[in-house]
Amino acid sequence: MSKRLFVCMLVAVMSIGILLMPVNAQVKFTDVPVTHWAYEYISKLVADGIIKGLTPTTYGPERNLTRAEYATLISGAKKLTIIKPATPTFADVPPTHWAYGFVEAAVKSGYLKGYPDKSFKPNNPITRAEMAAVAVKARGIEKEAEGVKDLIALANDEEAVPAWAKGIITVAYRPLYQFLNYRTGRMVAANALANRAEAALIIFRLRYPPKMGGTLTIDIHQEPATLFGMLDSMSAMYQVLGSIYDTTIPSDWRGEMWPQMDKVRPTLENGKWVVYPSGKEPEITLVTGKKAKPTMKIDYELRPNLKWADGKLVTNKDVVFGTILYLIKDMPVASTDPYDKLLRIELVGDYKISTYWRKNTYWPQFGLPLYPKHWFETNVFKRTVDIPVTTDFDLFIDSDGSYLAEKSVIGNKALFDYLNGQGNAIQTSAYNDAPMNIGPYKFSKWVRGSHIELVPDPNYFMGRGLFDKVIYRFLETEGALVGIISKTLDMSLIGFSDDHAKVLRERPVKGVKVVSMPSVYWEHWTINYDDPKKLPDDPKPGTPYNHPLFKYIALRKALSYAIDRKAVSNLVFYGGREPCGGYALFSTAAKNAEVIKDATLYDPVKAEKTLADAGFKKTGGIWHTPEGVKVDFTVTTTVRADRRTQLEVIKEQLAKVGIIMRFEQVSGAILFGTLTPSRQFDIAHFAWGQNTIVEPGGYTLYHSSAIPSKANGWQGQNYSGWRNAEADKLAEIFNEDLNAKNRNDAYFKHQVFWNRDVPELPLLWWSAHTALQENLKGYDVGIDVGTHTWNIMYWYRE
Amino acid sequence: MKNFLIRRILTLIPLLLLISFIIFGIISLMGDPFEQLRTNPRISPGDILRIQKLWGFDKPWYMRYFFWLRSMIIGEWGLSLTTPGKNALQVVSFKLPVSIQYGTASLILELLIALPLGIYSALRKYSLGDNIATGLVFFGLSMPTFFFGVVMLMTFSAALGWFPPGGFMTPGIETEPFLTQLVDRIRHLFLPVVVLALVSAGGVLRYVRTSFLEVINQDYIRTARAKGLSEKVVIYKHALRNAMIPVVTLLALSLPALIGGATITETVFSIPGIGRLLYQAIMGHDYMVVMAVLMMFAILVVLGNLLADILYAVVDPRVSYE
Repeated sequence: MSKRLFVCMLVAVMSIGILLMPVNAQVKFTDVPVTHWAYEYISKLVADGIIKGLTPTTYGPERNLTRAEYATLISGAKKLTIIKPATPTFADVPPTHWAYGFVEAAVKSGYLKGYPDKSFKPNNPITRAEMAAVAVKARGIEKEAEGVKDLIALANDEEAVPAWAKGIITVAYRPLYQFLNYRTGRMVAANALANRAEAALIIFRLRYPPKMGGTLTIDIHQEPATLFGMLDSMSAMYQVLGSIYDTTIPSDWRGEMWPQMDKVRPTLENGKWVVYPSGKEPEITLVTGKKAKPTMKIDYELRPNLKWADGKLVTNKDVVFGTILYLIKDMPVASTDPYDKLLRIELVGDYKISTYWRKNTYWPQFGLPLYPKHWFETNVFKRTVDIPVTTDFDLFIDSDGSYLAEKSVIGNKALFDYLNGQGNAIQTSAYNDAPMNIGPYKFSKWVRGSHIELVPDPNYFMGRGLFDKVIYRFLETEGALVGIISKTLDMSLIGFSDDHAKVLRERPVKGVKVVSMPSVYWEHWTINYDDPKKLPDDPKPGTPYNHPLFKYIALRKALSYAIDRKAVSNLVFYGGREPCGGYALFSTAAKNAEVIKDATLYDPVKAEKTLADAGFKKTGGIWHTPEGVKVDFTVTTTVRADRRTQLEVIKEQLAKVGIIMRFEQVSGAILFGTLTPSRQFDIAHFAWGQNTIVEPGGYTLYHSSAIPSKANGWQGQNYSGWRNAEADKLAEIFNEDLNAKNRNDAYFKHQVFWNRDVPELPLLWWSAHTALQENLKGYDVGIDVGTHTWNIMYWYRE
Repeated sequence: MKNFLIRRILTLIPLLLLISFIIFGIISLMGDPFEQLRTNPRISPGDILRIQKLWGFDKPWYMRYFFWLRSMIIGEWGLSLTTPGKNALQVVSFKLPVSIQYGTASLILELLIALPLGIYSALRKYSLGDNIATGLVFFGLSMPTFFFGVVMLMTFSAALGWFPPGGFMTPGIETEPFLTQLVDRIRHLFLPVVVLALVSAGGVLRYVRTSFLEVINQDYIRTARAKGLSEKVVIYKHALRNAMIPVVTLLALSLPALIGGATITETVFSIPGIGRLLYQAIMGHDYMVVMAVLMMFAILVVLGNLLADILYAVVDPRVSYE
C-alpha cells in the first residue's frame, strides 16, 4: 500500500470518526454566552436533548417561539408519548408536519388547544401569558391560579396583564414555580411574544421545579446590633431584613424599581405623581392654622389584603405611623430627605394615601416606610395610637435646612406630643431583638453570639420562602472560608476578603463558586482648587482658582493618567478591586462609558505630554508649574492600613513621571470633622458611597453653592471647590427634575465636565465577594448594594 | 488579715475612679461617633446636632464623664451607641458567658501543660525530655496566634472536617438536651482552647522550671533529702510549695485573661467574646461599651493584685498581714 493511500485512508477514517461523534453536550452557542441570563437553562436542556439550537452554534435566544415549537418543548418536558393518529386533528398540522406527533400529544394532554375552526396555527407566535398558561396546566396548578384574587406580579406593567391571565401570571411568579423572568424595566410583558430564551426558562422550571425544604445557612460575618431597621445601617442587618422585611417600592442592583407591597409605582407618566406648575400650587391650611403650598402630590396605594407575619392586615395607617417614627424628637435617627419635606398625608380607604410635599424631591420614588402600628400599641405604648384621616406635618425647618423636631407639630398635637415622648421606649423595645414584619420568612429566634433563625411565613403574599429554615451565622472571614470549604455554610455573603476570594479562584473547591463584584463605595482623591490658606470667601462660578498647583487642570489630568489603578489593585487588594472611572455605577443608565475609559486610562507618556503642553517645565527630573512651583504635594487620608499601602504604590508611580507626592494619615474624625469641611487639604484621599443604586446623587458634592465657605456658613461637601457654571446647571437638573430620564441625561453630561475638570480623581471601586455552594440557586447580585438577599424568596437548593 | 483586706479594698475605690477618669479622657480623644452621618448628604447639620445632643455629645468630655459615672453607679453602664436600645451592661453580658468559658478552659489547659512539664523539665534538666519541652515552649512562644490558629483551622476543620469552622455552638443545638449541648460546646471550643493554651503555656512553663530549679538547689531541700525523706515528699511537700510563689503571682495577674485576653484567637475562631467586642466597640466609637470592658479589665487587674497578695500569705508562711 502506497504511503499516500494510507494517509488518505487515515484521514477518511478520522473524518468519519468526527462525523460519528455524538453531539457534544458541552455545545457552546455563540449567542448564549456564559453571562447570558438563560445560559444555565439552555445548556442543561440541550444536554438533556429537549431543546436544540437553530444551528449547531446558534440558539437564537431572542427569536420568537411558534406554537408548534412550544408544543414540542412541552412534550419533551413532560415526557409525553408521541401520538401519531391516522387522521390528524388539525388540518394545518398534517402527518407530514415536522411537529405532528408533538402537537397531537400536547393537545391530547390538554396543555394546548386548537382553534374553533379546527386549525392549530402551528406557525403563529405565542405570547408570554399564553406560554405561562400552558405551563400552569402542565404543572397542574390551574386551581391555584383560579383561586387568585388580586394580581401580584411585582412588576411595573401589572395593569397591562389581560384579565384572563391574572391568576396565571400571579402564580407564574410564585417562588414554587418561577416560570417567568422580567423584561427590562421590570416588566411582565404579558402580551409580548415569547422568545426562545424565555421558553427555555419555563421548560427548565417544569422539568426541574424549585425544591421546597431544607435549611439555608448563610454567614454574614458580623452579628447585627439590632433588627429594627431604622435604627442602624449595618450591612449584616440588611441581609437579615432582606428576608423578613419587604418594603413598598424596592430597587435592585440593576437599578430597577418596582411595586412590592405597593400596587403601583407612582410616576409622572401614570399621573400618580403630580408636580404643580410654579405659581399654580394649591393652598392648604394645616391643622395648626398655618397655610402652605405643596409643590407636589403623590398617591401611593398598598396592595389589598397583605398580612403581617402575625396575620394582621397591613393598612395605610402603618405607613403613616412608620413615617412619623422618622420625625419624632428623641429617636436617634436622622430625619432625612424626603420625610422632612412632608406637608400632609391623607388616608383614602384602608390602602391608599395621598401625600403632599413642601418641596420637590425624588426620594419619595422609593416609597414611604412602614412599621406594624398594632405591634407597638400592644408591646410598647399599651394603648392605641389613632392615626387621623388627615395627618399634617407642620415641620420647623432651620435656616440651614435642618429639621427641628422640638419646634414641629405632626398630626393632632396630642398624638405628636405623646409619640415625641415615646422615642426611648420605641428604640429600646423588643422590636430590636424579635421584629415582626412581612416577608417570605419571619423571625423565629436569635441566639446571641451564635445565629439568627428564620422560618417561612405562610401568610406571605407571594407564597412562603422555599427553605424550612434560614440560619444567619456570624463567622469571621477565616471561619467563612472554612465553612464554605467544609460545606457547613451554603454561602458567605459579606466580609469574604479579597485574599480569600483569590484563594478560592486560584484553587477552586469542587461545588463552590465565588462571585466577585464592585461595591457602591469608591476610593478617590478630592483635589483642592484653592490654596487652603487663601480660600475665597464666597466662591462662585468665575471666581478664579488659586491653588498654586491644582489650579492647573492639566496637572489634575496628568495625575490621573500617571496612576496605574490596575497595579494598585494587584499590589494592595490581590487584584480584587476594579479601577473606578466615575461616580455612576456601571449598571445604571447614568454612566458614561467614554468618560470611564478616559478616567481610568494609564498612560504615563500622555501624563507628561499633558504637563508639557500646559507649559509645565521639567527641571532636575521634577515637573514645575509655568510659575516655577515644584510639583510636590501632600495627600491626607485616614489611618486605614490599606490606604497607606495604596498611597505607597501611587507615590512610586508618580515619582516615575517626575511628580513628588507625600502623604499623611490622620484619624477619620479629624479628616471628616475638621479638615475637609474647612477645605484644609491639598488632596484628601477617602471613599464616597452611594445611598441607592438608582441615583448617583451628587448635588451637594459638585454644585458651587455647596462649596464650604465663609459665605454659606461652611455648608456642603463640594470640598474641592469646583465651580463650573455648566456643570452647576446639570447638577440642578439631576437634583430637582422629577423626570428620571432627564436626570439620567444630566448625569451623563455632567460626567464629561467632571472628567475634564477633575474635581475628584477616581481610583478604585471597593469590592465584595460572595462564596456559595453551586447547588444553591437564585442568588442574583452584581453590585454590592446592601441587601444581597433581596430576592431570597426565590432561592432554593437543587 | 481582716484589717489589711478592708484597708486594701478601701484604697481600691479612689484608684478605680482615677483609672476610669483617665481611660475616659483618653478614649474621648477618639473624636465623636457621628462621622458617618456627616458624610451622608441626605442628613442635615441641624439633625446631626439633635442626635449629638440625644447622646450628650453637646457637652464637654469631663461632663460626659460624670453622666457616665452616674449611669455606672445605677448599674446601666450607659446606652450603647452601636447596639440600639441596649445599655453597655446588656451588650457585655451577651458576650461574657462564652468568654469566661473560653478563658477558664484555656487557663486550665495551660496549667495542665505548664505545671507538670515545668516540674519535669526542672527535675530532668538538660535531658531529652527537657529539651523537647523547651523546644515546645519556644514553638508556642514564637507562634503568632493568627497564623497558628488559621493553620489549625485549615487542617482540622477544613481539610479533615473534625471540628466546626468556628463559633461556639451548632445552630439548633440550643433545643437539644444538656449533654448534647455540652459535647457540642467542647467540640467548638477545643481548637481555640488548644491554640491559646499552647501559645501561652510556654511562658508559664519557663517560670515554673526556673523557680523550681532555684528552689531545688536550696539548702533546705538538701537537708530534707539528707533526712532520708522520700523523693516524692521532697518534691511535692517541700519544693513545690516554695516554687509556686512566683507562679501564683503570675496567675493572679492573668485574671483579666479569663474574660477576654485573646482578641485574635477569638477572631480567627469567630468566638463572640469580650476581646472582639472591645475591638468592635473601639472601631464603632462606642464609648459606653469600651468603658465597660476596660473598667472590667481594670477591676480584674486590681483584684488580681489583691488576690496575689492574699495567696502569698497562703503559700508563703513568712508573709503575714497584720
